[in-house]
Amino acid sequence: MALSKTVTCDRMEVLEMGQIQVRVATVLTEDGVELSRAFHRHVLEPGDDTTGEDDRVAAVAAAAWTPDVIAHWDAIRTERQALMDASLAE
Amino acid sequence: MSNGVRFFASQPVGNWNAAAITWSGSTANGLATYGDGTDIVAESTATYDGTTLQLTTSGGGLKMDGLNSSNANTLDDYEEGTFDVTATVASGTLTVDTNRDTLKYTKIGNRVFIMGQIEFTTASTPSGAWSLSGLPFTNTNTGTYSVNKRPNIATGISTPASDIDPGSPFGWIEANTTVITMAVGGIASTATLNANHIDTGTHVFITGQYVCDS
Repeated sequence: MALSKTVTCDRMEVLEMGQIQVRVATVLTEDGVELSRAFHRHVLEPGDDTTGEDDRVAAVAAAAWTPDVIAHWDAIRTERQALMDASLAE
Repeated sequence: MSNGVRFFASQPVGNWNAAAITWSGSTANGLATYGDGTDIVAESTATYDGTTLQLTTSGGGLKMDGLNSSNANTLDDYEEGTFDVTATVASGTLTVDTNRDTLKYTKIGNRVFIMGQIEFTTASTPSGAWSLSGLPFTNTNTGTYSVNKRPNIATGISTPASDIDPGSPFGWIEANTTVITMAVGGIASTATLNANHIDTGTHVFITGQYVCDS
């Protein structure tokens, strides 16, 4: 009976504005038969630090986050903050 | 086809022939499983009678993993998991206990349900606006603010540094973000919930739902 645990990034979803939704799967197997699979998620935004991320996530980020994408996202972030500030001032 | 299924209509016992496949089922309306294109390797106890698909084996279920249907009547995704929350504050420091920073989510279709509680292990002269980051999916950027772009998240705060008075705390998720912004409502003007209410040991209970585009 060989138990094994693997942690892998099993899904990445790149959204329209460049955010990357990352799903990490922790899989337990016994003699190659999957016993359980648990998911943990996080989201990266254009320009985020990818240190410590799965190599494939970093590669996707490097490809998707062009200077234009990051600049656009920064503009969205600024606009978003203004909307939030305005809401709190209502 | 590998691991495909075949419906056995309403013939509980009998031979079934197609494409050089011969196999005898034993369960009324049972489903057979292919090992490859020509071999049926098993018969499950799951059944389909033309109206109802019934899954009967404990430990299994109906799996839909991000099928991305555009049909409004199609349930195309179901997922359970966890996510970690971090705090951001305008001034000072707020640190979420790493043993109390993991919340749970369940995604059904495009709806994300979140639930859990966090505890602050450090609150060093926090002041001003604060927020919680790390939601598992990005809040939608489509629709309208009045309907779904800025959902409220119920947040309860226990053992704050000082009474939150007047008003009651709540959170919201701005469109296209993974951040819960903390505010105080029930007063004449909705305002930022000042982080100076947070102390070491303060708990924040979070429950809510929002829509995502993926």
